Amino acid sequence: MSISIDELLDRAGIEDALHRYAQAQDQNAWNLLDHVFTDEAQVDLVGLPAGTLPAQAFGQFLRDFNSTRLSGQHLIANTLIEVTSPTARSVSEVLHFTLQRTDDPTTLKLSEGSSLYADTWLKTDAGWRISHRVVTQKHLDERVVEYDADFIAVIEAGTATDWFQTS
Amino acid sequence: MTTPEDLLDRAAILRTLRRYSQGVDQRQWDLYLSSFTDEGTVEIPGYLEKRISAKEFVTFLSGTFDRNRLSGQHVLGNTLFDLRGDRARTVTEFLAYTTEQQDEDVAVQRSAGLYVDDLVRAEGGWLIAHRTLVRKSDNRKVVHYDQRTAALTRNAARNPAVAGL
Repeated sequence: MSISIDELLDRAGIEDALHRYAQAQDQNAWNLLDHVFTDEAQVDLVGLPAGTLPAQAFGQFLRDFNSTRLSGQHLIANTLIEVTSPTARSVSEVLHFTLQRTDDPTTLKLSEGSSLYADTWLKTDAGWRISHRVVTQKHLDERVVEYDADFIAVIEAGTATDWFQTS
Repeated sequence: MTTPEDLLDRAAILRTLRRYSQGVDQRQWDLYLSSFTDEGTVEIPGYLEKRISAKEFVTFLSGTFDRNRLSGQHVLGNTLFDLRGDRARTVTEFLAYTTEQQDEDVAVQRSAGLYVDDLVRAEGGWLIAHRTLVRKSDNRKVVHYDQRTAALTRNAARNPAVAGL
């Protein structure tokens, strides 16, 4: 089975959008989230109280959740993509680690988990965008950890920097 | 919009980023250094006091850092590319597992962070001119390995199968 240059470009466009989604929330680079979903996109959070949300509301949900977050990482892997232009499907594994603040400045809640992103895509004039995402959680492990105040300050400085800004 | 030429650049850049990880994880220091320009530099806020050369950093990695290390794995993901002619900025997540001998036990550290790389096009590919390592989390736990498992882990990076990458 051969892959054409056009399909490689489609795959690159889809992977870019997947990475923009993760980096938007992990680097608090919310402008990236403007280039991930179609205007009418829906996000299904299977089994979670938030249920199904329009993409705009989902973006706000993420921002609210991040208001107490020190740092996070959503590592996307094993993506399979099926392009039937102008639509496509992709399925990706995601490993997620987040550190959430508590009332005690040096006590953090560490959350480790894994999920599956099943995405439906639409090729728009601006590039590939998710029209429907289904998030299925696979495992979640949460515990309390203690961090040194100096290290917390280092992490805070890192998350406050716009790493996408080149001089 | 991404062009076919961009795809070639992206593939070459990813290969360079992977040389860095494989170099440090498989203790192939020449491979590690091959990911940098001759004047390449590294900075790690909160870990290194100042920006140092990649050559100085590899001395640290292959010396002090490696003294008690049994094994390491730096997995890369989510790379975003900003290609600008002969220069590029990439932002990549890394997830690192390091095991270290600690008296009779083994410490397993899971570290997460970002590699922010400024690369330049060079003959034969793309090279890192400067890397900033942004730390996000470090979590450590101590486990017990029997002697055989510790030896297997320590020797994993010396497996002839990974030589000469």
